[in-house]
Amino acid sequence: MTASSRTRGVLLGLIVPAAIIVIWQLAKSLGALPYDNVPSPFQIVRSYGALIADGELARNLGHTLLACLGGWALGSAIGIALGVGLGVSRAAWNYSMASVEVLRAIPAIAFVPIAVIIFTQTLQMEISIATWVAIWPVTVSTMNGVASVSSEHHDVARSLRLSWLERVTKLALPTAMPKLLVALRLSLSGALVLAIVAEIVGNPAGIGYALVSAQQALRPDEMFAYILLTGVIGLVLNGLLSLVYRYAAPGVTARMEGATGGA
Amino acid sequence: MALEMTAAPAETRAKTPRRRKRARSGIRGVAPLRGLLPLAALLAIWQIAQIGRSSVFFPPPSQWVSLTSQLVRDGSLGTATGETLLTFILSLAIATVIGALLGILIGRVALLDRLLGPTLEFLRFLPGVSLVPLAVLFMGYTQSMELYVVVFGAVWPILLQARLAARQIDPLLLDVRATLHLSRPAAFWKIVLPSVAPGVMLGVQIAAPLTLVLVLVVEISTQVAGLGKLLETAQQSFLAAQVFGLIVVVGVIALVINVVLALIERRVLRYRPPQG
Repeated sequence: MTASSRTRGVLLGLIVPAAIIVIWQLAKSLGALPYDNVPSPFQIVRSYGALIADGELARNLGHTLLACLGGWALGSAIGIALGVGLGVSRAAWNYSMASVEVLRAIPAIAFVPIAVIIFTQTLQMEISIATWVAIWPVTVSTMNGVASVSSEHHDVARSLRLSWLERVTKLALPTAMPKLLVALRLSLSGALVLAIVAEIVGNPAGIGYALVSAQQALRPDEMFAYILLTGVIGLVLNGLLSLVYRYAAPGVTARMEGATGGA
Repeated sequence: MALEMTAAPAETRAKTPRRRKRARSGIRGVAPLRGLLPLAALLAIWQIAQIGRSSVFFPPPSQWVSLTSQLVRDGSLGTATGETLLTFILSLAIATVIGALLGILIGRVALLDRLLGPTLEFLRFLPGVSLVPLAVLFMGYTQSMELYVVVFGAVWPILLQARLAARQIDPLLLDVRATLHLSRPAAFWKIVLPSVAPGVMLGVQIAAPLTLVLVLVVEISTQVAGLGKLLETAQQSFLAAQVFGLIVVVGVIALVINVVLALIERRVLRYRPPQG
């Protein structure tokens, strides 16, 4: 795609959101909306201004990001360790994969009530839930990636007399990398969702709770502001991850796109 | 070394012992049931460690059973399971139809694709759960509120996969339409839909766990009845054992859903067109 056709593509794509905003504002001004308390785009922008000015937006954003990223980092580390173990050792896979399948099938949201009982209404509760949801995609992808090391490469490792650790770091993990990067992205979205859920249901802090209290205070403008913010967080986190991938592992990213393109 | 490797891969492969090769290819098969041993051992230790005294936070599995069977006896577990499953099936079905149709439309009409691309890109990252409080504000604690929220959250994976599949329909197959003088509806049923079905199925499989999560979130955080409501009630009464029991119930439901979807997928994929 050339630069000019890309700009044209972006401009074309901006027509729809722009049209939605204009029509929304017009409908609100003319009183044509079915619900009276739907805020106008202008009101939403104004509530952003207020929320930024008194620092509430930054505080809530920081809290949710901390829970999401903390759980993601912790869960990914556990997942990579589990995945390497399950992928490298056939015996470990035979004697524990079914347990992993059962545990990862349980929707993470079901653990929120027990986390609330154990950790009460704390940041730890949010992080524990975000961790749990981040573990499984990373585990399964790392495992599949590690297990797909070709037998030729195993032979090379043997003739080079690589130690167990070297086999993991030089052979298993690089082979697993494309799948692992996809899984890290999945588990990041999962951790964000579960952090917000934990705040809506359990811990009175962060964006999730801001949504609930805006609902109770009958402030739909603030609710829309926070809802759009959650979308922006998801978009930005994913964009940052793509940037990191492209910068840190360009070859892998190309392979990854090739892999997902065919799926 | 690297050159040698690429020059003679077949030879190296032939030299690998057969047994190990089969082991490698089998790792993606169905996990053997003996893999449940660690989980069973964990539960057994959990139970045995608490003979005589029981933890408030980690009650032994025997208590999970006794407290959850109360819910079975008074009928509330059956009713709640029915409500949750009904909402799940309804919303996934609605999301599948909407997602598949919109996905095909957007995937086949290039202008629409370019117009809506960035908007879809934003909406797919919007966590469906954050809409729950808003939906409650506008629609109250109703079944239709639950459906709206869940469908909105579940439709994206299906729509995006359907769009991808619709874009990749083999042009040759579309030429067949012209050659056979098929009408547009006939072409839709006989060419487009079968070509897109595997993609839609993939989307449904991504959407299904998400749908179950959304149903439970709505039930936990609002006054809508279902398993989520039972979980929340148990939590508020500090009945940790009942919460664990309900987690097991939810887990079993999720596993059954996975199996059913896998069976449906096998039926759908029978019609898979030859891949180019």
